[in-house]
Amino acid sequence: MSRPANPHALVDFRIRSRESFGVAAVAWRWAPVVAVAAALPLVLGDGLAGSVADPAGRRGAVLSLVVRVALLLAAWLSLRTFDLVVRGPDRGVVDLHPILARAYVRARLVAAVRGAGPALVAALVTLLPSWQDPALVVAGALLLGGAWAAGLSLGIGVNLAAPSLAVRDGIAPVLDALRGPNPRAQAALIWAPAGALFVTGLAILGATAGIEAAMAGNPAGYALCGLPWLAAALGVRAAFVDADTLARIPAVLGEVESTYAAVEAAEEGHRVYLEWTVRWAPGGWQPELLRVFRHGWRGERGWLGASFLAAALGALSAWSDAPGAGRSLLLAGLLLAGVGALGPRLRARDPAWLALVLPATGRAWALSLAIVAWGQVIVCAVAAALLVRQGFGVATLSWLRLELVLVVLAVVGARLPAAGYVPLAVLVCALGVWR
Amino acid sequence: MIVATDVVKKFGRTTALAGVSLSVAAGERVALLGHNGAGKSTLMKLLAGQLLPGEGRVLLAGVDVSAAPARARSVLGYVPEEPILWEYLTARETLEYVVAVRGTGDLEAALALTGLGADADRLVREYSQGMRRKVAIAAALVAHPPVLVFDEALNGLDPPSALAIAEELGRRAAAGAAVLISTHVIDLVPRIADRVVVLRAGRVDAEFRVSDLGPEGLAGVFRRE
Repeated sequence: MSRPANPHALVDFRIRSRESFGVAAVAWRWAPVVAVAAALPLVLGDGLAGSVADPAGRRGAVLSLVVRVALLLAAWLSLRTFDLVVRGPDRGVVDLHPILARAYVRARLVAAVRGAGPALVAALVTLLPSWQDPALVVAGALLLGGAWAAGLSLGIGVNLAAPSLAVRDGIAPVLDALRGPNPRAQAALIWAPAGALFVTGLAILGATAGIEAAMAGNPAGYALCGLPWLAAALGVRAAFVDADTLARIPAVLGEVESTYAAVEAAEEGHRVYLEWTVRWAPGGWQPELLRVFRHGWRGERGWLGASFLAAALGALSAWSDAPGAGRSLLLAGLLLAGVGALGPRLRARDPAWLALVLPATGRAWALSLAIVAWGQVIVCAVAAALLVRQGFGVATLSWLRLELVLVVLAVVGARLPAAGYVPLAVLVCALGVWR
Repeated sequence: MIVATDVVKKFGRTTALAGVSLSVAAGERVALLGHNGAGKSTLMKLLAGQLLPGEGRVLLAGVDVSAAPARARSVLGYVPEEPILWEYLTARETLEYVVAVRGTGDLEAALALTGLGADADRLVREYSQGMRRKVAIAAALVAHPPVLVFDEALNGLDPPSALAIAEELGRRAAAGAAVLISTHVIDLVPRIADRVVVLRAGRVDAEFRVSDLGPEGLAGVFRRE
């Protein structure tokens, strides 16, 4: 393979060639595809229940699943591209030197395409059960491909625009209204992925309406399938237009981090969520559990906060008289998978000396226990909604299943890196909703 | 070359810099001293564009760091207090990158200066802390930028390497560069600086030429407090 001339791409090329080791690396990379393929029959058994015999109903159910997967893909990419261009691990090096802005954006786009490639294939796997309906497969593939491309390029474009918006006086009142307890600059960074998702989501919904019209006999509807692709093209253009803002990123991030540091110093020693539960933990685990609660809450407050907000979404989904709890369980399972992802995230943040210097007694178990404790917000919210609307039996069974899913996710998440956790989490969630 | 004018920086209710003014002329080497928490690293980060001043201005070679951060980077060689490097690149490859993005630089000379020559083709992840710091110093020096800002950069280096880099900073200053270096190693100050600025509680507390120091040297300055 020839060496790229772009210095940013050359760095990526060299790191990739050394970080990835043989068959195991390839297996981890494509594991999500295998996991989705394995999970599909389990999820379809529930999500498409009652519509399998009716072709029109089945089309609608598959399309509905595809739209959800497309939105999920776009949401993940809007966050993933934030990590890639704003908070990338190479910022500490790149930020000290002049930056070849367009070359850097090109390299990041290529890296994003390569990194997110398996996710697109995994999403396309959801169309496999519809292989006898070519029109649906083509439309679904166009929608998923467009969502992937738009999520990726708009994610990079909008996230790159955020740092310069963060310091623009003209929108300061808007940022102040949105920021909550966060520094003003952080508001722009927090809401940028949401902005990317909003635009991509509109394009996906427009394309879906087009597909539905086409399926109902109006071929002009297919033209709307191009909406996500149009958004993707706009995203690429925005990414290159915004490239010059790259040099502003370190100052904005520096402002955000130093402000948080000042806030956190002031609240040191109190107000750490669930810290009080430590006193009931087994003696040997207590110091580790305390460390996880403090480090986890202060380091992943945004992630945990989003999980708690998502619990409301889970409860809303469960607030239904429709028989069974399959859909709400599937959603709750995915939300719990998000909480379980705190395992690999927190372990990646642990300092190297922790593993080198201190004995590891109970460390993984303490992390698992903390994840289970954090996940209770989602489990209890969903179970409570089911108790009111579906009765004691359904609620109890659902609660037990969700607790089981959470425990397994917590045990797995506290021990595996993200590459291993994601495919296993998909399977665990699918099994969790299997009738 | 380096001009900070009335710089104020607050973090919440904490004032890190309370109106600091400092200048380093072309050809001059200035050591920045002070207790932990005096504001040295905050000032260094402001100079390097890693933070925005709350009030005041920072200019590097006439370029406003806040208004034109991209241009400011091209005139600055900065070594942060805790350098971050690509773990899966070698020192040579890291410097190749820096030379490529800066468009100029003598890679072999920078490796030789920092004593990394024999280890230049090993991955950074195999390096000791001192060797990592040498890579960061080589990256700051390789393209001969006219402004050099070193934040505790010589800490943790073996004495011969620290002296070699101190001498190189002298040569760079003689060639017209402005050098600002913060350190806690006061014994090294006479070798790396012509002038000393002492920060205390976010203000410039004292400023003097190294040649004006009494027989007790810098130890005397801090002992009197």
